Formats: sequence, C-alpha cells, structure tokens
Amino acid sequence: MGFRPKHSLNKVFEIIKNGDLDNVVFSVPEKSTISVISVFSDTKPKSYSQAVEFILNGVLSLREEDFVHRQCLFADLSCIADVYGVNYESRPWYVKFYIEDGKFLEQVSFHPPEREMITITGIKIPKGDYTYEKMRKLWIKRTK
Amino acid sequence: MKKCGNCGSKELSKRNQKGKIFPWRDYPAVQLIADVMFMECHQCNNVVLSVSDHQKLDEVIVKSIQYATSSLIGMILLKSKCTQVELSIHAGVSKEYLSEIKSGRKQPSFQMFTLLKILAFGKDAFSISDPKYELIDKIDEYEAG
Repeated sequence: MGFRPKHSLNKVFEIIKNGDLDNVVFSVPEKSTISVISVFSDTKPKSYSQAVEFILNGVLSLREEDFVHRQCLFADLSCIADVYGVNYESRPWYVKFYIEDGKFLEQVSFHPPEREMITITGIKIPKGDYTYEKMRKLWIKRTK
Repeated sequence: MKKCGNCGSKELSKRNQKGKIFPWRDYPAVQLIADVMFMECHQCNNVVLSVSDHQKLDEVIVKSIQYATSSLIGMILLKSKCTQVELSIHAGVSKEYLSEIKSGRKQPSFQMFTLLKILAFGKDAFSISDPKYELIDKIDEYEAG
C-alpha cells in the first residue's frame, strides 16, 4: 500500500530535534526500546534512556531510499504508518512510525526484521535476530 | 497519543507499574518494586511510554535493583551468619565492591544479582559456594552414574 512515504522525513526529524520529550511516544515499547535493550544485553548493555537515544539517532539516519511501504494500522484509514528498512550500527532494523495531529511522533517499531525486507530502491535488508520476541515466546511456553 | 500502538484501543489510562517486569541493560528481567505511573491499554496491557517516561523507568529500575540487592545481602548475612568479608570471598568479589552494591553506589551485574538470589534462597547454597567446597567425591559419584 503506497509507494511513497505518507509522512515527510523532514517533519519527523523536526519533531525529534525539537527536543520536546513528550512529543515522541513509544507506543509499543516491546517492539522498540525493550527490543533494543534485548539485542544489546550481552554486548553493549543499554538503559532505557540509551535505547531511546539509539532509536532516535537511527530514525535520524533514515533516507527516503530506505522506505519500504505504507501500512494501515488497526484497520483505521486515518492511521497510516511508514515502514522503513535500514542497516544501522552494523545491524538490520525494521522501523515503523506515524505522525499524529501534526506534532506527535508515534514510534511503533524499531527492532530486528522478522523477515527480509526490500526497500523501494531495491536494497535488501536481511532478517535479523529478534532476541526479545524469541525470549518472550520461551517465557510464554514455560509458564503454560 | 490517542490509541494503543499494539491493539488500537482508545481505552488508555495511567496505571501503577509496581510488580511489572522489564528487561534492563544485561538483566533479562527486573521486577519494579517502587511505584511508577505509565499510560497502559485496558485491552492488551501494552504500556505506552514517552521519552521522559523512559528516564523515569530507568530511575525506578535502578532503585529496584539497589533495594533488592541490599535486601538479598542482608538476608544472606543473617541466614548464613557470615560477615561481608566471608560473603565477598564466596562470591569471588572484593569486599569494597560488595559494600558498594550493598549501599547502592553501584548496580551489580545480572550474574552477581543471580548469585545473591541463590545464596539468599537456596538450601545449602552458602556452604556450596565456599571456594574450598569438596568437589571430588561429588564428581566421582556423577561419573559413576
């Protein structure tokens, strides 16, 4: 759905650089900050503030060429997110966000891709090691 | 934010996260033992966090680890009737480091925290953790099947 981003990257960058801490919302931490913490837990352990900084710098590194597709969330046509695939800090990442009310950046996902992605410019972003998701599934299995 | 990023529900309100579990640094899970209010979805219990909420979460996690570590060391000293110096020898760390994690000046690694949990709650764990603990008979017994 959609071959061009719904949300301007310049607007996204402006919200992040504006520095209003409450205008950037991580609406599913398990798919963003918690996931980043799990990925780095045995190499470069991160606190939540460091995970936020990592993600925001990752988003700031995006270019239009990294765009993959648009995605309608929750069957709500007014809620369209942009999905990007990017190699950042030597790892592949699945990135999804949307802007709400013209001023809130809703960071939905920033985690290793669950499957290979291809950007609009044909760059292949490989499947990553989604550590947190694997751990979560293991915990669910153990508690059953 | 108007809706949950996980399920799309608009039923969100601030709820206390005490008792919930979050990974942090090298810890796969830290249980929050202090009060902290975050927006939570009533439908799927997904927590929605702003940038400043993440800073608060770091603070509460550090407090939770400090409180739990200090309590675990206190429990081990009481249960095993040992001194901090003896405990530091069993744990393979310096007495200064043990003192620092007990007072909350430093956070222990996840491995150290797990060792303290085992020493505090495991039956015979303190005597087993003695560096001079006799192993040969036990290994022979295991090898003999």
